[in-house]
Amino acid sequence: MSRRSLAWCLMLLLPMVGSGCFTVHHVYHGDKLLTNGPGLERPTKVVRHFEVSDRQFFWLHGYIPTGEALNGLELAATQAGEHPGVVNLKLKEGQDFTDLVISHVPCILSFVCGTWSTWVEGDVVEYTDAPLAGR
Amino acid sequence: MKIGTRMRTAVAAVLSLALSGCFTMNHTFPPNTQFGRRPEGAVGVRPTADNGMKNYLLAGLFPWSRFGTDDLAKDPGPGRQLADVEIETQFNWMDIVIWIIPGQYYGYYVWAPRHVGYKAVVIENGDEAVAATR
Repeated sequence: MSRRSLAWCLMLLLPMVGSGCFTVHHVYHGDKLLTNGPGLERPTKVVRHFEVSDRQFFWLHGYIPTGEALNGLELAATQAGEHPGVVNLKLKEGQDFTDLVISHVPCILSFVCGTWSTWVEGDVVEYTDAPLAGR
Repeated sequence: MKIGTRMRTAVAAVLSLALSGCFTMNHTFPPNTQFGRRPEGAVGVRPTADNGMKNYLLAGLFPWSRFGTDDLAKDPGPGRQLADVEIETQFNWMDIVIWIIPGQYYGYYVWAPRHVGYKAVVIENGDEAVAATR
């Protein structure tokens, strides 16, 4: 086998070995209520709307993820702050234009490295029978 | 490299990037699904889970027909909701074989799969209705 063939084989096999490692878990075990419905179990009012995203960088097609793991539900819960929860929650993930440029150009078609993102959108709510924070 | 070849390469690169900028998956669940803490008084009925391979054409610009693109989570029925939801997206060995075998670069753009799964618990909320938000 020539050196070039060996290099190709290694390039193909390396990401296959590590590919099962790039897994995104969206899970939340905290005390906030997060729902895609219009309200909570008691009447609420919207405090604010939010749209946030997070991006994770990885090496070798996900074999070595770096930084904090992506978790859209944790991200949404963080947005709730001191309020009881989030309604009208929308969650998505994938690659936007920036991810594609990073993954396909300097990272050589995402073999060497790449990025993956998650986006969450929703309304932070407060119970109508609870005083607003700071008032 | 001739100017014509450079132009073709540049156009191909720009087109590829433009087409692939849409590779996003919306995690859609039945109405009033609870992703965080369960509402007060909710009682777990049974666990539920599913997973599947989601397939996309042109690196995510279009779902690949209806094959594997339907919502995994089905509506649990009247008076019931999904709770304790965990979602997992994985680019596993099968995805990468599919991506590589048709020919690295073009394979990715023709057929880009991901494995997606979820686990949840079906809950009943008793006689409490979901309150509207003002």
